[in-house]
Amino acid sequence: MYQKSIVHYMTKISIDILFIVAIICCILVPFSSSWLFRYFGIVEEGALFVKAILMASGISCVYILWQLKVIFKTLLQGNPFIHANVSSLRKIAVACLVIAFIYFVKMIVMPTISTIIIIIIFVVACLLCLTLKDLFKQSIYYKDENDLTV
Amino acid sequence: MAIIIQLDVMMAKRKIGLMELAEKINITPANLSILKNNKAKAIRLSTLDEICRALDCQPGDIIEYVEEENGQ
Repeated sequence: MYQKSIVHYMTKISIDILFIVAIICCILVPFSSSWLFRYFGIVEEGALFVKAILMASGISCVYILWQLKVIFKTLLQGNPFIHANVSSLRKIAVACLVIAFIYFVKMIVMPTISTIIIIIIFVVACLLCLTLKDLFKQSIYYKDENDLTV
Repeated sequence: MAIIIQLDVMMAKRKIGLMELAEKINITPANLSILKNNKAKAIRLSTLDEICRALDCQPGDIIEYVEEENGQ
């Protein structure tokens, strides 16, 4: 039996806030030239590349947060073990891989330690999501079995 | 599946309805309907015990094994 916990609500609120912040950040990326020059120490020619990297990874992050919102909605409804969540986790894994690939491209052009760390984090996140997806699939099987046991 | 639930036959013999039986054995009518329509994947021994008590019958009266044509 699913028990609602304050932790679930707090996580849901955190994801909602992050989702809004991520959208605002994505919108502000094209207008962040001066900040980019200061933070990355890049020249005018590299600004467009960095903006493209930030924009692409930002959109992927928004997509991940949207999928997490979908998963948490079903969790708070008390029925998280559904095939839609397996699909959501697979989409999150793909988005993580996309981000890792984007930063791999960045690493080739502008290699930094933080870029390598980001790549590692998102590759591991991708693998975790794929594992979680399989766990969810197995849970759905057990749930169906339990539901059809009279 | 080769196992067939003959619950409806016993219910007809005992002249008892689905709702009444569900109430007697303390399970939901929806679950009893799943069992009656051969949709269930498994049956708990406790449920079988309650059904046999309520219908005054043996498990063999409700559950039947029918060999399928392809031998599976």
